[in-house]
Amino acid sequence: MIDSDVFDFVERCRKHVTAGSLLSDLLETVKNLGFEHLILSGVPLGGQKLAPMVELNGWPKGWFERYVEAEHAAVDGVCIYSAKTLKPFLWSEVPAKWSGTEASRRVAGEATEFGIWSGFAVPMLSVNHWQSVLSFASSAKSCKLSARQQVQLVTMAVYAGMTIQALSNDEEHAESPLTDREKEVLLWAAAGKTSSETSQILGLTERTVKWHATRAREAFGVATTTQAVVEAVRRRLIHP
Amino acid sequence: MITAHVVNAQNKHLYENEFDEFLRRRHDFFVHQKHWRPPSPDGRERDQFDTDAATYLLGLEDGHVVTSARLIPTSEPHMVSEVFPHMCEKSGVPRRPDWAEWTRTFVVPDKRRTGLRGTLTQLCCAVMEYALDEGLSAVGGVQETYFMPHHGALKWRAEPLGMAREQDGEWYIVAYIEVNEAALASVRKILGIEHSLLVRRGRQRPFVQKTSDIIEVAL
Repeated sequence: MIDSDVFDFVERCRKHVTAGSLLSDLLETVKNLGFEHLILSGVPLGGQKLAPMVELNGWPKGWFERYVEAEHAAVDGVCIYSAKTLKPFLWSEVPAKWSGTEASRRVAGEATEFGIWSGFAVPMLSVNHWQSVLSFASSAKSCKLSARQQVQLVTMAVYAGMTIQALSNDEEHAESPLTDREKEVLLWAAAGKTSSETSQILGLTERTVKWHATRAREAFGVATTTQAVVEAVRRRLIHP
Repeated sequence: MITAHVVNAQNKHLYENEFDEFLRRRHDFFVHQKHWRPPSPDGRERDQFDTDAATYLLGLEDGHVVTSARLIPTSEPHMVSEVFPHMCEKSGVPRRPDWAEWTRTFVVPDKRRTGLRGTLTQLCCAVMEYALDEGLSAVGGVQETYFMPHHGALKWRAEPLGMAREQDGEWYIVAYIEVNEAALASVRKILGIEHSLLVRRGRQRPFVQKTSDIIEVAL
């Protein structure tokens, strides 16, 4: 693989408007470096579920299902180490403390049934999770990458990571300071309804409505619900 | 929310305390945390690029420097031209007065947090606002690859000038971010603000020294 292939991929990243097209492009491109599968995901911590954190899923279908079903993420040395380092690494470089456990070795063994023997992982910042990792998998018994190939892989990984962050729709879930319920309660407050009236409209108890209003005030650090309404409008979270 | 004070050779005398605090925070970060630089006996970190050509954005909150950026026209000697020219194998070292090299950014520990509305994004917003005000086309330089997805999250476009490289166990890439209205609009939208974060006190100096100004002086 030559460097201009990498810059061509970077250029194409600008044009991808879906995660799916980015994934097939990246898979096709890294084939030239000997990688058949890849996954880009938030790194699960302390029992977090892996599935909702996955952003590009290029693993063999059966393997992903089994990995999630068996909760392999909690014991897989590669996954554990991905939360502990900021630096790209070969799977074979994961310290024995995490890769040498019986459970981790079992995961590695099962992976070979799906043609996954070795790999290279690139941890990256994530704005939604502790951090992300883009892991490339190979069917080669041990993954041989020249220094130049590592450079090429890291460069592409970083641009894939940037692109996926740009594609993620921040409108809805990017840490809105208010929940949907809190917004709803503020909307009715903006319409001049009392908590008692709002509770009837929404079919909630008045106590619950007051609780949502309190949470909304706390979210903005303000004293009154009126101030919270003003702030929510100003930040364009509600449109009364 | 920070306010970002524009500090350069023309108005530096108005910021003696803040600038000193900035150098001490730099020492905390680049010497003690990153180990990129040797300790300095006076506890202040400076390098050969702290010259009159530099413009600083000092991010202040409650009277303290919590974040910063240093901008240098790439037509002047800058870190990429002097230290990392080998990392620009794709496009060559930029040498344009309207391309600013962006360095010396940190966030003090108690302002660091995950999520996209924090101090780092506020600083990015201030840099983009300043760059747009000053008519720049691009800002960037050598950066840690790890943080590149942050640009993506801001919907910013960053052009690589070369491949990522490993140096002393860390991975870097030289990349420049396009300066335009859309880039400012997207970061402001993320922060939920419409107002300026910049504060300009005292005499101001245009970042791009226009050829016409020089000719007038010559005449």
